[in-house]
Amino acid sequence: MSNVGARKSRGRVTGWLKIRGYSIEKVMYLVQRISGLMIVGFLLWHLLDTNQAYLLITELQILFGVIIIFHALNGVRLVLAEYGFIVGKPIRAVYPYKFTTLRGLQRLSVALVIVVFIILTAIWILNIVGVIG
Amino acid sequence: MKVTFKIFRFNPAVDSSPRWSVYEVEVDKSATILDALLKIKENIDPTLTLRYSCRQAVCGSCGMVINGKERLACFTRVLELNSNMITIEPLKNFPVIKDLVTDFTELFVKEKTIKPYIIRRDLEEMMKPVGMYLQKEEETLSYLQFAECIECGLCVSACPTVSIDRLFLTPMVLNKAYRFSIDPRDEGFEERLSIIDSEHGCWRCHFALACSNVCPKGIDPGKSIQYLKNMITSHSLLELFLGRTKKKKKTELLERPHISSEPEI
Ligand code: SF4
Ligand code: SF4
Ligand code: FES
Repeated sequence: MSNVGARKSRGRVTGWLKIRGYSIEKVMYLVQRISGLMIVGFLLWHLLDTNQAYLLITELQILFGVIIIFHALNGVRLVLAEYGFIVGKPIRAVYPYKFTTLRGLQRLSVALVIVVFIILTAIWILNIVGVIG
Repeated sequence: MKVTFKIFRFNPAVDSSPRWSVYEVEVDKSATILDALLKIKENIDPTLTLRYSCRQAVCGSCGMVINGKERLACFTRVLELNSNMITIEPLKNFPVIKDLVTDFTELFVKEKTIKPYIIRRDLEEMMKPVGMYLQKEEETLSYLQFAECIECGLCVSACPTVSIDRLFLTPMVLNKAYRFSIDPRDEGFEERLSIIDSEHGCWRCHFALACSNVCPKGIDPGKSIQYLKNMITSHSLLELFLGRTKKKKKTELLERPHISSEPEI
């Protein structure tokens, strides 16, 4: 076989990071992954040190709130999308091609997640700062 | 117009690591990346290796990563990229055979596992056909878009899941699984289930839509895969709660007496 010793160009995690040239959904995917990992990390830390409520510095608290808000909102969008509810009907593949996943309801759901995320984040931050201030 | 091409070079037989070659090529408005590559091969460097066949986005052999994005060389005009420095690499997530040529063997093995053909339970009917199955337009439309795949592997190279899970079935194969499972003539969904509903099956797709971003034929694999998940879920729910599975609506059989009932051998 000619491919003996062939070099694998498997991107590994860099495959997650490639967003140039792709649409916003790829960015949402990346943020979802990172926020998910951070939540897992936070839970592990929490298991090791259940007393951390005293340790939490406000910035960290704010950050985790923000991360959880994003992850949950985008998670709802993903559940809808991954069961095929907002990805559009099958169409004819005639040139110029249309990708119903990259427009319409699905795109709208991305916008909605971002808007609601900004509103909830603002409320959350104002709330914490208010409590402290 | 003069355009500079920076091309990935690697020959596993002699090179220990990849290198880059740089060429300057004069291109006109109509030139595709494939034209430019062939010009390089013919006039400047005959050792440059690439794969192509149809030159018209039909055969799926000329996929490569052009300026960081997966594209067909024959379906991309040089000047549409709006850049006078063009980087060309082989598809990601595939072993490189030489330069821009990648090895699809693994992908085709995966494809085989999902039985990419119409499966009928009735062997008798398969051996002695008596007519044809006439499809209504909406029946055809349920799979038509997903049937146009040319197996170019662009989606496989773009998918972030393939890059971390070597055994992931890939968007191309999952799209194919849906295309056949939803076909009104097919009865093979349950046979494919153990593969597509596995650890490396459709649930590893996380809807990044990189695949739909790069597909050159308008297939939208990011759509068919989500429908596949829906299909599997409703199938399992029905089985769990009602203890039965959905009967597929059968396409109407149109008897055609002139179709010989004895296969000629
Ligand atoms: S939508 Fe799924 S299959 Fe397509 S690129 Fe994303 S993870 Fe891969
Ligand atoms: S789904 Fe599109 S990108 Fe993927 S192999 Fe088929 S034609 Fe190529
Ligand atoms: S040469 Fe056939 S798809 Fe490009």
